[in-house]
Amino acid sequence: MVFPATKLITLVALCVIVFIDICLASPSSLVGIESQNEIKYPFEEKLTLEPLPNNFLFASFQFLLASNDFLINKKNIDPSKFTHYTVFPKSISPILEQTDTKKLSLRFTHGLWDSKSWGKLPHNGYNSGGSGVEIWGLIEARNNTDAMSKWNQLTNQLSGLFCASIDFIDSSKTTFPSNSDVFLNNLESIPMTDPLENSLFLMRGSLANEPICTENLTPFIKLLPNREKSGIASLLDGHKVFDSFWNSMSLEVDTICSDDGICHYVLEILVETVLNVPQLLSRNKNPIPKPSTSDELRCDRSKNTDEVQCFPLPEKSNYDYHLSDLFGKKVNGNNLLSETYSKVCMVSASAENWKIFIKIGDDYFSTSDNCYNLNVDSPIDFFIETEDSSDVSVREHAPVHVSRSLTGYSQDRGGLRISFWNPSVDKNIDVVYFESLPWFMQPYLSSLSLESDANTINDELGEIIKDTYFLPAIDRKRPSHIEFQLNVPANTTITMSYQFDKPLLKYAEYPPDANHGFEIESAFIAVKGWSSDSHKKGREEIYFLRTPTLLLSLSTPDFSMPYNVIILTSTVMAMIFGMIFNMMTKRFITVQKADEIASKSKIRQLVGKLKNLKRVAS
Amino acid sequence: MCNRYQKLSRRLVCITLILLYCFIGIPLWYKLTTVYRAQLPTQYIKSLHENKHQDIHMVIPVYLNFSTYKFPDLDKAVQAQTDSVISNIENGWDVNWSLQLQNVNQNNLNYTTDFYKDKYVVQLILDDFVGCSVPYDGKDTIVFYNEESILSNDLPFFIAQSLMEHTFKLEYNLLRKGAQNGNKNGDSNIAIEYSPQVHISLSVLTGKGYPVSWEIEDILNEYFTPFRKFISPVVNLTVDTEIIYYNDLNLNKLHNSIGNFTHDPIIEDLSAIIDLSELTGKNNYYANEKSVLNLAIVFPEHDLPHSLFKNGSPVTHENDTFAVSSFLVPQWGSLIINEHALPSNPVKLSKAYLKPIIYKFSNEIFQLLGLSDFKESLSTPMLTIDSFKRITTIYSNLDKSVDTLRSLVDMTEELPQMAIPKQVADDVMEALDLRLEIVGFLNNPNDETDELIWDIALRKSNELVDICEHAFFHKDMMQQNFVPQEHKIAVYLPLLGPISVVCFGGLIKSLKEKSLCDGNEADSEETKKEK
Repeated sequence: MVFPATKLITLVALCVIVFIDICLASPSSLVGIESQNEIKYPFEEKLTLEPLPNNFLFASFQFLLASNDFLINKKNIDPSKFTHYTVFPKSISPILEQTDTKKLSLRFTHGLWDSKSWGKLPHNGYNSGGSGVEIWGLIEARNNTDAMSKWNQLTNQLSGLFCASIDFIDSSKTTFPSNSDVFLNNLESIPMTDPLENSLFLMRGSLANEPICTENLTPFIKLLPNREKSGIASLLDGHKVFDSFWNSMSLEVDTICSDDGICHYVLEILVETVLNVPQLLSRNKNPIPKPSTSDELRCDRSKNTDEVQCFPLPEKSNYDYHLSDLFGKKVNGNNLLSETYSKVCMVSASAENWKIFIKIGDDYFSTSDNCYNLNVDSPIDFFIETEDSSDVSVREHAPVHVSRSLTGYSQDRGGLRISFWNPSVDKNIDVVYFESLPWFMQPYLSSLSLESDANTINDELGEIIKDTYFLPAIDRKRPSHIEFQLNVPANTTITMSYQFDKPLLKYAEYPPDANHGFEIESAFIAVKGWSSDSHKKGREEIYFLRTPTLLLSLSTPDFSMPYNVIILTSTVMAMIFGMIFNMMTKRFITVQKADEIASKSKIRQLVGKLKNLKRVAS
Repeated sequence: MCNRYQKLSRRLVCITLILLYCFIGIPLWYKLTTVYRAQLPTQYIKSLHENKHQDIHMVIPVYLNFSTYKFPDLDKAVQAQTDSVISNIENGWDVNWSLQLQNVNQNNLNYTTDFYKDKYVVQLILDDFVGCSVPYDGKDTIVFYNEESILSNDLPFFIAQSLMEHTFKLEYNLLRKGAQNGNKNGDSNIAIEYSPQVHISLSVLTGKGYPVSWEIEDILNEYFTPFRKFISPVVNLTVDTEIIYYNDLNLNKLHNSIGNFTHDPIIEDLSAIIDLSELTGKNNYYANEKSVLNLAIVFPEHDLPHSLFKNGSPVTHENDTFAVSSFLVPQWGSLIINEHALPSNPVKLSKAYLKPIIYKFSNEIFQLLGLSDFKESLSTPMLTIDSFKRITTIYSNLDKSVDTLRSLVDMTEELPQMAIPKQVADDVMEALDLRLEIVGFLNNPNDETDELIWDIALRKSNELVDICEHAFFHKDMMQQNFVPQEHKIAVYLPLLGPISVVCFGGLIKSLKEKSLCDGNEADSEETKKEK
């Protein structure tokens, strides 16, 4: 890092000139703080509300941020280059740069998305992970080992940033998905620092059923330039977001570059939740649940009703409530930093039945499209009103329903059974089934079998699986990695099953509560060409979904066993040693001699004297 | 009647088993159940720590170049003079050092090439007066002499004085005994530890949410780029800037709910209220840069009382209505607090506002990096940077490494149950070898290399610090401490207890048997006599 002398001379001269310039600079009459008409940064935010059947409300908080420009090749650090952050979070960039991560997806998801009732997942499932934590990264590296090293650094740093155990995703939980063109779009357009030496590695890891709580929401809020102080983010309260039937927090970072190597990051943060409106409203009314009084009961008067008997009516369908009733807070004015105004929209097919009003002060206003741009710097609330809450927009149905379950009761063997149901009556679908099993589930592909409920296609089952990718596990180092490309015929259920072995783990590898079982991460399904709409391209062409996680029970040893074995063995050894020692050192004498010696024993003599005394006394 | 042969054999068995138990069983058990502790060169590390510079005798080669007259013995005469100056210093030297004077060999073919480009050369120029000049753009020392000085034989002394008081002034001042102690009371409380990579984070914080922009790119290019280039041989600076909203470092806590001050705040209140944790936390993700310095320009949510700024260090122009004070936070950076909140509309911080702040921070960086001693010598940057490399190599890196190794040795001695993996011992040996190599560079800098020898020494000493820390923070060293020695005893007591009882009980019985037999034999002799 030695600077050439000639250049240094020039620079020092420049330095001196600059210092002189500073000394001679005349004091400014202005303080140098100038008011501007408009300063806007690349930041957008939007809240979308969507009523779902059975009085559920889907709320999606979306934040889009972009970083300042930077050069993709930073190997030669130019002293005249500085990194600037305006709205993009400073904590993200260094992590991505140090680990050469070009694309990062982090998802915290919990709960059950009832796709049969609510339709397909939001954003076609792209931003929702399996239950727990899921992380995807596209890393530029020389080889797999280098990629794994950078991945470990990435997970460790994200673990600290998001207060989650992401650092537990090590090589034994990480896979390199093979169908990367399905999971990622435009892979070719992703920029590389050194395309000659390096390649891009798509890596995925997951923590099944990792508990998600308020401490995980706080880091997401901290990434926003306005925190929870203004804009729609002021509604985000961990207690409310997680008091839901399904919630998902996701972070997506993409590196976007121009042809001349100038890049910027684009960050999308989504916080989504499905709230049960009647439950939240009743909780506001009675924070401590208690039985309803008789006058509050909604009984079916057409049936016999008395003091002890009540046939309940269906839930009421007319509701009116404020958004602050659901989130506990009002929107704290517009976000002043955005390029556009903060937006709040209600999406519903029935605009007649669903009305949303904006409340500023004591005044209510409405629009025809139920969409509002927030342009006031004061607390804002929204009033939602419906006469028939069951009249909701019909979401598209999920193109496939998948269920996965464990089979078998054995301590050393088990099985997995995965069912794919294509509800479409006329359209076959192509499915990529991705599964990463922990190394202690050792599957046998030879046991793979397929069944179908349609007798007509039994002969063609061999045609169902188009392609198979299988990478067996290495104990404690690598998970099993299975990818199938399937074609599921219309209106058919295909069931796939295979067997696996359950090995014994080492003593320290069992979790603290081993009897609870081992969480097995969700399987991941991508459905290609599911939509009949030919305009849908890229991300929209593919629908993603995850199965629920599984709980695998392994044979659990008695954890005090090693100590017991040591102690028992030691005792037996000591007994055997004692006997041998006794035999080796014992003195063999006649019985008469033994009696004679015993009679000379002082204790014997003392006992004899005591007996004599007793006899004399009697 | 005792059989003497049987008695002896029983006793022999007991004693043999006791011996086996004591000298083979217990050591074997102890060995098999004891954690692995690799052997460390403890004594050598302790002796190094007690006298850290015992094997350092830094030699700096200096070449004498003369054109008008030829002085074939001048190098020897100047050598004698410099040796005399160095040896006569009061209190002695903390680090032994000397200059190695040589005449430039003009007959050498290398003379016309770059051989002397990076060397210390004394250019002797005949003039009407005697004087000395050290140009800022090189490492030469120009000594002007006249014929009287030759006749009076003052030239060697004059050259020696010029070298000591100008060219190697920093070594002359800082390598003396006690010089570093004096320094520790000053800068070292404020300065961060030396690190080859330092990150500088510049932030504007406002308690409000109205957009702010600042002309920071232009200002940084003007003031920071030359500084970064200048310091780059020893410290690689990376810089980022950030605008943070709705955060005034807790200054809003000075207000009560109705917008008035809870009491008339004084400057001490600031240190109690200011919360720097978030700013500090944002820099945790720079894994390559161990040290981070901050400049935070804070605009409070509400105006602050003027009294708060009485003792602050003002940074704005006299005509300004804004009071802006600077506070130096030791080992953290500089905090600029504005008296007034920003207006409730978008604002731009122009160069006029930022210029005095960045200029002041540029000066404070020397103090924060621990370079105050060097700041005074910036008129000769080439010489100063070289001196800095040597002094940093010795005081920041070699000493720190020895301190780390000593701490490692002390820790392993204090915790006898702690494992010492082989990797730690290997790292320690590698560190000691590397240290000797660096000392070799310092003591014998004449090796022909493409890279400047002081750069090699500094680079390797940075590696040395990393190796020592790698040895000290080995994760396997701590984990065995959770299994106490008592646990081991408790688990093995069912084996050790009965065997000990049996062995020692048997031995006592065997010894007791001797007296019993003696008694029996005496009895039988008495019986015979009676008969």
